[in-house]
Amino acid sequence: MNKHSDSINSIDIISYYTGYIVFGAAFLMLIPIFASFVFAEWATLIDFIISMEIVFLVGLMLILLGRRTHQQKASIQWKHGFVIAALVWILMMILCAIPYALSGHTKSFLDACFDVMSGFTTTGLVLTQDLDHLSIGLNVWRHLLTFIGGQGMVVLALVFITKQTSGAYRLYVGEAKDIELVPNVKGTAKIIWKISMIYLAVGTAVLWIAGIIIGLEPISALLHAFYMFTSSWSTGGFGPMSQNIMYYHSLLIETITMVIFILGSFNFGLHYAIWQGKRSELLKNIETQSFFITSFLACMLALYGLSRFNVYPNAISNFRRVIFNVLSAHTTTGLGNIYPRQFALEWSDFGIMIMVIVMLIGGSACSTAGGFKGLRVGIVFKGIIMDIKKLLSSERNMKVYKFHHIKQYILEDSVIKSSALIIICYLVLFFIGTMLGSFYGYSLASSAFESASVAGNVGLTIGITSPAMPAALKIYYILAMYMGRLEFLSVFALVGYLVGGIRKICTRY
Amino acid sequence: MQQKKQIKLLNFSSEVLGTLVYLALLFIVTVAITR
Repeated sequence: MNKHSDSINSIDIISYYTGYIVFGAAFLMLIPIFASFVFAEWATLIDFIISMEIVFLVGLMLILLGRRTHQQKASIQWKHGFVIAALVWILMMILCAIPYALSGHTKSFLDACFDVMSGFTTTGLVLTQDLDHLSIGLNVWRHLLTFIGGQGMVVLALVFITKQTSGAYRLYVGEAKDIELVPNVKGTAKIIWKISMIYLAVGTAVLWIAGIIIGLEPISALLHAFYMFTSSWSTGGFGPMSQNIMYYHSLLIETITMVIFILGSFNFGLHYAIWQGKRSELLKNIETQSFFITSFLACMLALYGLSRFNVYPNAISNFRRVIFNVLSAHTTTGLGNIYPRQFALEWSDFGIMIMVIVMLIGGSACSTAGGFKGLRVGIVFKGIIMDIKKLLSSERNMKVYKFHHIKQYILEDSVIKSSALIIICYLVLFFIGTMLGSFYGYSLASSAFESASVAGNVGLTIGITSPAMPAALKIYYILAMYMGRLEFLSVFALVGYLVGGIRKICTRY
Repeated sequence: MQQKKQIKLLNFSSEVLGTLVYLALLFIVTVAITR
């Protein structure tokens, strides 16, 4: 009896909080509705009103289903936090895909779901067709999803929706964010959004001016500035046009976006520390050290490798094509200024290998970036050095090894182990994707490139991702983007919860 | 208050400046390698 009532309670809690976050998505649709109204896109306006009603009803239904949570003031446990975070991402993918499907720009609802998951996870791969003629309303929606996904849906919900803070930390951790900027998790969520909103204002203004300089109309320049800022800051990679950032043919815009996506790939804890006056953190932090070393080495190797074949004629084109694409891959942004097939035809296997490695490493933990993160690379690398030093020193030497990440941490075996486990999970995800790509007849290099791009939430493509690719590959890529973004734990918790529930039902009958 | 704002602006711009310096370094190395 006790167990039975406990399981009902869990469903109530999960349903109640999931409903609240879904409810928030309905309100977010007011932004594309406003854009469609201003630009007189009546068909898009109707699409969004229909979608908003559906999302609103689903959210309301879930809240009513779990209303006992509110009445009994039940608190969220760890398992609930993980399951809610994992469930919200799937549910939001389906609900937010409705405007895509209604627009007629996607081949199927699966393609619409693929694009939404790509946006939320800040990947940037696209299956939407005829991108050049997409309505402003839908384009605003696509980039809004990327921006929100980058900061975290649950983080946003914590700022605006959830009133009570008990158990909020469990929801926050469920979304693969674990840094506490202030003791209160709601305060931390607010700071994350404050940092992003300040950059949104400054970055959009700078890109707007750059757009006007290159000859765009002021209104068009403002919209493009918003699109390119959200894509860069969230390390997303969506572009409003099919040519992505190549559409602008501008070194100025490429340089500004490079600055924005490097900053976007930094840990929110690092931004906060620097803004608090700890400027030396930029050089001392294990994550920035790891990023500067790996990105510098990757850029140099790619430059050497490509200059042997004289792929690009001069320093400017090398900087614009090689450095830009390597940094875009390393920060998991995915903005590309060469055509997808140029990677396969011009970059050689060596260039592709460099790209695969940097895409898997990715940006910083607790940032908008994906990949297995510079922090974990740094910790595992320091762990290896620590083990070697221990082997070479006398047995009595009990030296404590540390690493710096906002503050000093002791390098314990448990920290190294958990970092290594997550890296292994990413590699498994990458290898399965590569195998699946090869199974469907794509070359090994192309399969590895695309698989690293989805597992690391990058968004660069070598040409595999298209509406014509096999449905099984689309589903796997959706799963890989989802698992990569949530860093496995929440997804495993959701699977465990579902399996446990099924087992209970089976034993009852 | 004014001083506090100036310090905050300085901290904010140091982040952007640091990134620009890194990009400049990459550009210099690109020029060196391409030659």
